[in-house]
Amino acid sequence: MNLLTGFIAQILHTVLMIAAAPLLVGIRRWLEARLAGHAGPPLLQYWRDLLRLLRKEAVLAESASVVSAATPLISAASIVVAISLVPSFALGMTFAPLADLLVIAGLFALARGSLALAGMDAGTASGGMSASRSMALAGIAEPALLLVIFVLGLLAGSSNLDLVAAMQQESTVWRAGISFAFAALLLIALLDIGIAPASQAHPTMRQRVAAAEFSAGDLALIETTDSLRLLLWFNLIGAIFLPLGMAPAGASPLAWPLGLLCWVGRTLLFTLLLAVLPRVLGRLRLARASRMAGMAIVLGLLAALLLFADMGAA
Amino acid sequence: VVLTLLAILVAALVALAAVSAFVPRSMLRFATAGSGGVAILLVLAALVGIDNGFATELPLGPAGVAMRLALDPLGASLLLLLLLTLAPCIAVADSAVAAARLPGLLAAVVLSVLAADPFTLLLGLLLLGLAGWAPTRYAIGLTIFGVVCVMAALALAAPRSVVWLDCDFVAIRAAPPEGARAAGVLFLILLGTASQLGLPGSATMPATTTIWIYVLIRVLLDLCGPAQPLWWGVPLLTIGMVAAVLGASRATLGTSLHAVLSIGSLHQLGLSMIGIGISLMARAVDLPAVTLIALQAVWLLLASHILCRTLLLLCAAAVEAGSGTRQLDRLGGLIHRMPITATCMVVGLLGIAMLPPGVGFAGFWLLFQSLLAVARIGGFALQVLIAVVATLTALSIGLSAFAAVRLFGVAFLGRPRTPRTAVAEEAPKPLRMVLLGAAAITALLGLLPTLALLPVAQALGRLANGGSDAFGFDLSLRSGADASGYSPLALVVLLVIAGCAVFWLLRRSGSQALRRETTWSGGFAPPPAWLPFGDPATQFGPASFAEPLRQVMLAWFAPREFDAAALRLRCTHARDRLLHAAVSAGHADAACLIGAMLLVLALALASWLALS
Repeated sequence: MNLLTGFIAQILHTVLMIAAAPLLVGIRRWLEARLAGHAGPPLLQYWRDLLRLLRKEAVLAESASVVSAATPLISAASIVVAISLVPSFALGMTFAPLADLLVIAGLFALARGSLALAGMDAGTASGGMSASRSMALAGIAEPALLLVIFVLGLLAGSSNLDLVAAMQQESTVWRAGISFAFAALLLIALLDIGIAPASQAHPTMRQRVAAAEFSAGDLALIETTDSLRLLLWFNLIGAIFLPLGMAPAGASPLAWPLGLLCWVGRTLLFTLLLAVLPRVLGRLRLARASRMAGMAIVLGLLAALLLFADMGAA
Repeated sequence: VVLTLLAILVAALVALAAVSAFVPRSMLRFATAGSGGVAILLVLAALVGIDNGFATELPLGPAGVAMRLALDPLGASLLLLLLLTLAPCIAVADSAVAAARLPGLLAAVVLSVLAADPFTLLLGLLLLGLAGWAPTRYAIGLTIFGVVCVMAALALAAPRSVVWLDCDFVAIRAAPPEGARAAGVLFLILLGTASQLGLPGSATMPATTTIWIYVLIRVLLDLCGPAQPLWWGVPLLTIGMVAAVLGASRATLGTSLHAVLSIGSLHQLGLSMIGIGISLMARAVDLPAVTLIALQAVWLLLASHILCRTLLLLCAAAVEAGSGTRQLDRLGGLIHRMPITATCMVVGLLGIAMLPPGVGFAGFWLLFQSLLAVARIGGFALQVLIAVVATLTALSIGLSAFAAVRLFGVAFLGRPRTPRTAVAEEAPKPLRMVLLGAAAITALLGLLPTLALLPVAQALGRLANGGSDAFGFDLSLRSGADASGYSPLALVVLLVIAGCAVFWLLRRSGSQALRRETTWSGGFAPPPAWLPFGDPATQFGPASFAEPLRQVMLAWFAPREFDAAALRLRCTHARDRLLHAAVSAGHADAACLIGAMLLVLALALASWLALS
């Protein structure tokens, strides 16, 4: 029975995430427009854009190789797998034993690396520049991410995400180290998502690669992957730091509606934050991004040190 | 019997190396390949047959004493891996110099792994130094320095009652050094090993560097016994993390294929030294399970180093032969002309960039688990050190992913940067077969990392002082008996399913029309007739690709210089700009290095004080 509910939860979760991701971008754009005083596009406009892209003729550069065909698929596959590993409304899904935090970080890196290669494939200046920038930022954001994983792994005794989430649900004290880790992970997520408004022509470096080198179906795929990545970050932060209401492993499906409700609330809250933040923070240039990454590393180290002090005192 | 046969083989190889100048090259290659093949068979037979390992004495050596040889499962597995990766080098060694050095290198590798007394080991290492590195004064000097360090370490380690040169390793194991003498051994052996890492090399280099790490394991973990203090791990962790970051960050700036690949090996060796340090620490506080995880991580990292590095260096040799250059700023677009080499390169890079599902990621995953476990030992200073190690390990992995993308993107993607590269030729058939075979083995071990751990499981368990002896075949790596682990096979199945589903959806609902257009480079016109591939200088090159990372590092470590550099970038002539950039790069490197070293030394000192 447990096996069956876990499997159903897994299927439901994966389908829900894939369906919700483009809608999320629609909501984000509408919110941003409202904040700027415009009427805002319909919520399903992003879906329609994607469908229209699918019908178009694809154009590829003469110098593009098989890499251009394969890399959007690879990055989409790794993000889809990652999002199916991160729980949204229920713990104890079928893939839970695979949901190692290091593996999820590795899948992020795989997706990023393959898109960077896609940017370099045609041999254009803009593609190469976006590739090199996104890889450089990823390279310096990696230590912060792994430090956060290190802290969580120390607390939960395992780097498995399900165990971490269960530990966070059960713990009654909010340790000081956790809040620093939370801040560090937020910074990393912002770095990865890019805090420019989604409605700008080419907001992030990743999307700049997509817009410059790809068209039609591949562009739609990359855009969808990007929206999935946004939702993946929301889910990851939510599962690690705000697992309120999530149905525990082995719970009956009756606990799912509450979990779903909490997930919707959490996601909308994050979306609202993401719509407001660019108004406050402005553009993210390379130098600022690198300082943010440095800050994230320092926060991660502080989290580890506080945790050690806690462990020593206990 | 096996050992005697191997010894005869070594003698024959040494003789072959001595007369290599007078023997025709085809015969030399044939003889080397033949003896290499025989050696592989012998080691395979030994690996199947041994349980505890066996030893023998040869009536050879200085002043009538015996040379002792021994083979245990760890040595046999390592030897097998090394010989298997050296075999393709024999098959494809095209230059006379390389072909002449190979028999000596084979003999040295076999001798150093088999050695069971100081004299034999030193002989093997000396031979290794002479045959392995390019014969420059610098390399020879370093080799001699390293061998002298090992000599002094072994002399210190040997019990007082016997002549150290003739002291069986069994005798050292029975009475391991203690206190200050043991500390001296540690210091000297680390000095010797550190001096050998990161020397430039050819495709045979992974064998040479791995042997030095093997010596480290043999002396520190095996000979010095389990009764060593906790602080023994500290210098290893320190050197390991500095080496890892240094190797990865130098690899991001390398200007040629070989430079990037050979300096990058410092990264993997540094990580495996961290693993050795963790296993020493865990063994000192009697945590056999953690020790075992760390040792398995070391073994996987070493295996991935040997396999991936050889594969990559062979690919680099193929590129050099096919396109006439190894300089990154002259290559480009090779994937169109050399698709098979490009595929093998991707497999190898996946391994060394430690991305899932490569074999490198499996080793890193285990290393991270052992770091997590060892942070619980206690002692605030030690925990701080572990946190710093985790940070720098992560940084080195991010940097090595950057270096891998840069290497592949610049050399294999985009458009050719010179006319010669535009007509590059795919590797000849034998080399292609070798590359594909090596890539297949690498990919297989990435999918099933436990396969690589199986032959050494017992030996590692013994080194770990009785870790789990029931090690069966498992689809996933685990950090504990009941813990959920990392299962690359399941991950790959999921990835393939997801990829196929996405592909099918795109095929079904998307338009199939595809048009090829001239590469649109920010509004450039179609290329003129004399530039058939467009202007190659409009692409991102090796230097420009590394620039954002350099800027970030500057902003971190030398903010004032960063601002000054930004000013200069705005106002000066292109050539001066280059000069300024070079100068500031030098400054930043030095400053960052010194700062990191000071920090690390302070931490090491603090944790030492706290522990003792």
